[in-house]
Amino acid sequence: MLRYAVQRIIWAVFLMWLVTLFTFFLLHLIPGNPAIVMAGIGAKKAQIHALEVELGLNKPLSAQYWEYLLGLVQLHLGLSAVTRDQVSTDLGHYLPVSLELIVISFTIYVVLAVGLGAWSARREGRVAEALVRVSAIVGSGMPVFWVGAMLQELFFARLGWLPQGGQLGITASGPPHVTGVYLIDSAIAGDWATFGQTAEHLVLPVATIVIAMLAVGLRSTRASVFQELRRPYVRTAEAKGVRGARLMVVHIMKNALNPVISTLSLQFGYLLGWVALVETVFSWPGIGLYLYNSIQNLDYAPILAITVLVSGVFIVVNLITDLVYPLLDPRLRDRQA
Amino acid sequence: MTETTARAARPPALAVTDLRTAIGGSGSRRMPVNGVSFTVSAGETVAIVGESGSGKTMTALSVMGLLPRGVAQVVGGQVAVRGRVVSGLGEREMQSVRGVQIAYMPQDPVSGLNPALTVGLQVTEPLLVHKKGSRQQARAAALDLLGKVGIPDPPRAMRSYPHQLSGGMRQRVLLAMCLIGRPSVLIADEPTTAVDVTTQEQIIDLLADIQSESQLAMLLITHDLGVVARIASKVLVMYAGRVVEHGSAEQVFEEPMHPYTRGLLQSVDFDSVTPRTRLYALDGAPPQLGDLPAGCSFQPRCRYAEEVCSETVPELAATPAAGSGLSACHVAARGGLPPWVSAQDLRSEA
Amino acid sequence: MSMDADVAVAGGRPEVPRTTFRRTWSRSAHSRQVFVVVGGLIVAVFLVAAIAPGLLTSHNPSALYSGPATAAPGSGHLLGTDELGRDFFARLVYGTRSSLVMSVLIVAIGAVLGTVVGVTAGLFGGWIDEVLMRVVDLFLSLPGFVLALALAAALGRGERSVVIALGIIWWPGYARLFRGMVIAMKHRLHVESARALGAGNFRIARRHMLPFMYGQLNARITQDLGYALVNVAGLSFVGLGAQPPSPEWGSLLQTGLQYVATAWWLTVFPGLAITLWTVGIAMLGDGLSGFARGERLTGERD
Repeated sequence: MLRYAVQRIIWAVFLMWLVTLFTFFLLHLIPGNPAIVMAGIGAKKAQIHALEVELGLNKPLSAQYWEYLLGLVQLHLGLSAVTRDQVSTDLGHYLPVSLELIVISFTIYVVLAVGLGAWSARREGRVAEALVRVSAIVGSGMPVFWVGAMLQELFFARLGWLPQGGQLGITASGPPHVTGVYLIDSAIAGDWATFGQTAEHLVLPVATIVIAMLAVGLRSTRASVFQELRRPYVRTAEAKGVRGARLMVVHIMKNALNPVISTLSLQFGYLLGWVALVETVFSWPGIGLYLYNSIQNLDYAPILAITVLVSGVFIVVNLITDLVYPLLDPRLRDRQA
Repeated sequence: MTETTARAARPPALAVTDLRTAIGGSGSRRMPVNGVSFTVSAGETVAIVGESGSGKTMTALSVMGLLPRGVAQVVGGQVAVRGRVVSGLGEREMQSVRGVQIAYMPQDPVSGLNPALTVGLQVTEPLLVHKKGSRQQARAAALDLLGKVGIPDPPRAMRSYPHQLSGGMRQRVLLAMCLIGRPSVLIADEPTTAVDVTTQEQIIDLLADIQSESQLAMLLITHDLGVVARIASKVLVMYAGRVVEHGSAEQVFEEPMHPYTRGLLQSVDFDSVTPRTRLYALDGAPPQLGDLPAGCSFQPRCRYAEEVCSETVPELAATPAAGSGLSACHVAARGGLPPWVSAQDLRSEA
Repeated sequence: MSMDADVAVAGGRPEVPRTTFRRTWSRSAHSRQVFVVVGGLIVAVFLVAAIAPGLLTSHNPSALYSGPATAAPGSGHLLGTDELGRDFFARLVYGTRSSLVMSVLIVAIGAVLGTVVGVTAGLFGGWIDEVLMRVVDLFLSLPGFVLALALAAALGRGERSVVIALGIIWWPGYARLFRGMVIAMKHRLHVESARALGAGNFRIARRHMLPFMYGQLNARITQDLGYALVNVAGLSFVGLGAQPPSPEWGSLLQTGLQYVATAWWLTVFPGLAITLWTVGIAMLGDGLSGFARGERLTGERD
């Protein structure tokens, strides 16, 4: 087990290294010398010069890469033309905001996917099967940003129940900064009005993400539980008198979850991509919106930084799931040993 | 009253009367269990034998109420455990019967055990689910029982997962799991198929020991005649969902009164009754349930078949020759089957 | 219709009916036919829109103020007009070509690259196989959409960047698929005999394996054509890819977003077009190749 864990960690580090190579390559692909790129449009001469030194532009390419890597580790991510600030500072502001959205969406999604998947796996018949099939086909065809736009159309434009976007109303201001996650910060400050407002603004973006993911993921959890229900050990358990909730949770879920988890980690990857799209639709001031604005303004430093960041998160999450498998399936534990 | 008569006055541990199960809707004609009746008394072993597809396992599942929902259902007959009728019970009540009054031991210990749960949990589960004692008590009972079934290191086994145990150990674990609830009836589905020859001997001896000690009523489902010969007192031979012969083990082996049984026995050399003696003496294959021939289902493969055999379905009836056995055969019913000469007899004559 | 209990009756195998088993929904030929017909119709309409858009609409998609700005659907303009008074239905129809062409190119690049890699890995085996599969794993362990986005941004705006970026991340799925097929093929008898007759490795690949692969490819490609389009739209939506005034659906949605409260048709219809295409072609592919089991997840990238 330990050897397996070490292997996985080394692999993760290797992947991360490749990502930095990739972004380094992109840095040189973008027109203009890397210092100008990292400084952003409209940067002062002094700033550009400082970057030129730091990036070691007069040195051979390999040395430049080394400098670049050092810079990354020290979080010297360049300047943003839009915010006129360090990219790292910007990320510090926007990351918690995105995390709020990501964590809540993913949690709700997992609960629903597993719960609904298990529930629907017990129900059979042509109608249920057809429903799942159709929703999967249609669901994977609907672009997530369209789902968002539709929800906005319905609940904001038509019904007026929910706000169009943003994290808070235009006039409101956020709670005192502790973590940067408004829900947490307002709870800490006891500011329940802000808490409520944030929650209200979260509904549509979260719903968008959850719906988009469920349309596809539900089928796989259902299929997995469905398959497990047919395994011989289920009959043995029933023969002992085990039934209902205990049967499902204790016996079946452990076995059914393994394939589900690999799907979940795959979907988390999509989620990371979708955050940009969803934040754009709802003007949610997180990393996604930051990325969108940077693209509109040809501001490359943030784009590169975000690429590294998101890839890093993805790699770490994958690593965690890899390490979780043996915990669920005891057979894997011994195989790795 | 002597002990035997007292025992005779008690209801049998398991009484199955005219059990019928249909596949594919209650009006369907496909019946893997078509009028099966038998009783198993405490301390007795009844074996159901037949080829694959004869309806043996379906009978067991019907008794347990574990038929695949929506695919098959019991459509007639009655099952009683120690006098209490269980066949009409709802799922909830049936749950309270399973594991503690009547236990089912599945055929394959590999797939029959949950790979994600420890042996300990799976063995103690019948007690925990039916609330028969605390966790410690259940654990103690499990350790004790695992030792009794011949597992060398019970505490270690409890902590292990099924894949960490050998085939023989897994079978014993299954056995312990079935017995821990102290059931009156144990249905053992092919208990010897999945293990090697030596383990088979051990398992059979184990079953015999347990039976004599606890007066367990055992329904043995198998196509292994060697096992039947060793521990069964009564034998039912099934073919295409019907019982075609029903009698004591001695009678069925020494004086089989149905052509199918004769065919099965022909391949068996009882001089060396080793386990795993297969039943493949006959030509042809069992019929599809939806496609049964008119009259006797066995008739197409039967060398004694007469005209009446393709017209009327034979009922189980006593034959002039056999002792107290029953046979579903027109020819046998009128004494038309030639005397049985087993391969053994032939050899000893030679 | 086969049921497990029936199988048990057939003889020769121990009966293993299961407890909570239910009849699996039979994949009747009937539902497959429906899929092919409906899917085929949808795809046909889109193809006409891409190849001969003039057949579907008489309006000019670039004609500014051919009607009042942001007019609702109806009376002369089937789907209303956009913020510059252009007929919206025409915009959508003419936008089909760009979207479809990009999708096709992306899938083509992915398939070609994937084929080469997969077949090589499968055919030669050994360390070549190991290395190549490692590379595949690599690509699959990284968030494709995000990397493609970065690459497309670096390459500069425009359709070409999007096609290159997405095409590059599209191949791993095909590599795996082909490798699997090649390996399965290698074990087939007539490949062995072909070798016995003296045909070299390459010949074997061409003559014996390709026909088999074709069938499996069908479902995959149709699915991918849908997913590719969704991804293309996604990149357009954020401002990469096709640039205004090109009426590519993703960028139409980007513009339409500003008019959520005032002109709902500007957001509803572009997305509907994307969904309809994906669903239609998926149905077609599904129907043609029989239902693939649970294969929705593989190869999906967004």
